[in-house]
Amino acid sequence: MSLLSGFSYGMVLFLLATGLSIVLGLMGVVNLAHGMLFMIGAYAGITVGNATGSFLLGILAGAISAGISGLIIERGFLRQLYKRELEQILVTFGFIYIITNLHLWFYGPYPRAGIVPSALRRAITIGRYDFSYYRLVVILLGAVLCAGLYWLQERTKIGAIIRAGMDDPETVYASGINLRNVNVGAFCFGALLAGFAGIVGAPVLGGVNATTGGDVIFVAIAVCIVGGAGSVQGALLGALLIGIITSVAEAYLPSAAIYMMYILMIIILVVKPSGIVGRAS
Amino acid sequence: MASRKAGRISRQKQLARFAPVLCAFAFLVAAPLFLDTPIISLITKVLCFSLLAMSVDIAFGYTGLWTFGHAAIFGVAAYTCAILLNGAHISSFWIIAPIGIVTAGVLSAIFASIAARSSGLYFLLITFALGQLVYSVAVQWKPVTHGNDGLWGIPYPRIGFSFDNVSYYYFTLAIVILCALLLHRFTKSPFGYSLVGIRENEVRARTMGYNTHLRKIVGFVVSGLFAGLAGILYLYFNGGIAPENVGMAASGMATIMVIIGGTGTLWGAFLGSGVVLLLQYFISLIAPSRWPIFLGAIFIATVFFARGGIFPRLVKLWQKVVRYGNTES
Amino acid sequence: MEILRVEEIFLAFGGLQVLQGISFTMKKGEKVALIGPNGAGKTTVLNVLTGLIAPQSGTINLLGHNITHWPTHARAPLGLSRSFQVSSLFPQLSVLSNVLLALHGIQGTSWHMLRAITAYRAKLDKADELLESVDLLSKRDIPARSLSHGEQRRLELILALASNPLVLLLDEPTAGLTGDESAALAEILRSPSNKDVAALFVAHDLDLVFTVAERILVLYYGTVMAEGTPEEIQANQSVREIYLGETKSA
Repeated sequence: MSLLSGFSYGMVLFLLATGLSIVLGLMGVVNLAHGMLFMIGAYAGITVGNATGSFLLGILAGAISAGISGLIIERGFLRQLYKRELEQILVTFGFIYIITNLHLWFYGPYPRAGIVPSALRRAITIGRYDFSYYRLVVILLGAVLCAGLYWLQERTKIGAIIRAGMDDPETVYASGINLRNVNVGAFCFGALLAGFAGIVGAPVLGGVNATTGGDVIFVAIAVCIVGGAGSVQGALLGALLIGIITSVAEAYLPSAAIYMMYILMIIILVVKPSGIVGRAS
Repeated sequence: MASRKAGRISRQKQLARFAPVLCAFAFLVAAPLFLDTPIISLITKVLCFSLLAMSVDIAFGYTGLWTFGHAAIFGVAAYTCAILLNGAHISSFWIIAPIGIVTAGVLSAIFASIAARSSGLYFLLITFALGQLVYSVAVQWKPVTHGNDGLWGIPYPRIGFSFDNVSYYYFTLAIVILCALLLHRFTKSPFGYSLVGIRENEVRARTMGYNTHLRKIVGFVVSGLFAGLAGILYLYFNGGIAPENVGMAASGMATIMVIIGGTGTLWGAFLGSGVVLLLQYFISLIAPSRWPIFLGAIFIATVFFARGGIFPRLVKLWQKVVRYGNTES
Repeated sequence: MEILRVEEIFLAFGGLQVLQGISFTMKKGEKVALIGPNGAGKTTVLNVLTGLIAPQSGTINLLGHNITHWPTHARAPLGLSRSFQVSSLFPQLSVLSNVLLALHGIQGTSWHMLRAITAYRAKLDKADELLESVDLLSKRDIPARSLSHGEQRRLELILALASNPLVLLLDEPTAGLTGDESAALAEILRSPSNKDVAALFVAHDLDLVFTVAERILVLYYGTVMAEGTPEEIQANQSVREIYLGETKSA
């Protein structure tokens, strides 16, 4: 049972972390505000979804608002801090404070429940356990998107450009490809995904509140560290690992659950900093 | 014989160079005479955090270790003392303070031993994760730490003298200034320079015979000892300690204090903590729940407008003033 | 008197065999040049000697100690010192501080935490002496990164000399220097005060090589392909082939 929650939680993490992972691997940019995009997407999506009664409109609103916010952060601030990691960390940390507090101001301190479309508010019973339809759909969705993203990464020209850009940006530029635009595009796509993850994932997380953005970024970082930044498979591996371990721990050893993620992160950082499937740089 | 510009600086010039420092010192000493209690409390708080910020500067500015878990070290010392006071009922300051400091030192040694092989971003993430582990312990270990409530009811230290607001302020001032001078000497020592060498060019330092891995750990422990002392001073000032003083927000704030003031300058950390806490105080008077927005804006503004920090700019400004004054006479 | 003995060093990166059985010895005070085409592995030899890279097999014996797997910092107190091909300084520190760090490096004083680094008079005097010898005394208080390229190479050299090494490893010490500067550097190497310093220097600068070297090692794709006095090497046909592209006269 907790395996199921773990899996669905992992899938949500995957969607959230992929954007961060690719950006980290591709541009070397540390965007701590990525978690904010998740929260922006969740809140926007929930608000619009509730207002219009349409889950799909909510998803659209969530993804787009996150995408736009990501664009603003990148173009307005991060583009000037290329290769200045410490400053990227500071600026995005500043955004965490600002955006969290803005959400607190406008939406209030009380948590908001995520939207689950009525069609999916059921559960199927297998053996002794009830499996929530919604969680199953999230897993399915995640798997489909994962496959799609992997295909993008491995089999398309844009994927090849991105992968080449991670290994040897100079050569890519020299071939006449505007890697800058590709990078920005990847950043915004990642932001869209994060927003999407927010609205879709809100029910899986049990609702969102103003601190969700801050909480979730460190899990996303842990995912990138554990799995390895810069690849879809790394994000998937890290996300599922952390999602399942955390959920299982919460069910059986609740007091230890909170430590699991950090301990895992430390172990990986010390033993193989590039992550389980990461390429050692 | 090599000609050395030894510089027999005239008494006058020397005084002029240090004038701002002497004024600041005089101000701090005289402050209780003309400032209200809440401001004196604020300055006491600033002093505690400036010691923390200076310790962060040793690790971060001088050695180049991006530490993001110093609040945990600060907090561990405070919690240890609080537990000894409330739980074990040991009340002698001279017993619990050293124990607290040693605890901080041990924790720093643990942090550094795990993280020292990494650098930059990875060091930051490891110290962050370790700091969060400590935070989690503070929140979870309810029987000992009282979880999110924290430990309270801590009176002023008992050293045969009964403190009040003002006398504790002087106590803190004396200790912090002493530590600042000690740290300053430390940075000018061969060991202190070796830390900078490690930051600037670790490989070269190794070929010169410096055991860089060991020195990073030792340097971090020195930093941690002072962070621990800062935590203890804060505990007595605050009357208690809670997990929020231990987590990443606190670590982040300590780091930004150093960066605003100027990394690698030590006095910059002093300045930075003053700036941040004073801003927090005054903004909280106007818009108490909106302070994080301003803090975030400060983070961003510092990066874009105050690279290198305030302190070096002030120094240059003052040097210009002194030169102008000299040419006049 | 033999002070350095290198035996059968093998090193591979990935699938590439970079060093294949490097062996040589050095005597006290001997000046040996290490030459060879680019990519032959010369800098790698220095890296292995200083412990920045570990060989897969082979031994390095310094003054009777087997230092093959010793950490880099442990080798310096034995008298091993090194300069780098690309100046490896402490950029933000002053020129004087750079030298002081080099002087304190192998001393116990490097652990002192309360006395100012400039308070050690003997070291301060020695630092000034070193700076004077390369004409950098006037730049004492300037940050190292503000020096010109030639000045940086000179600083680079005295940083390596500061510790009074027994074995000095130099990687292209005259790279980027003018003819005069190179000659001055060669003079330092040949000066009587450095007669007990065994120097192994990697060089492309044949003037330097033939002025200073008593013995030459020719490295070719990871092996010591020839070894001998400058005259012997100059006369060596295979060496001439790789360096000058000469073919055997018909």
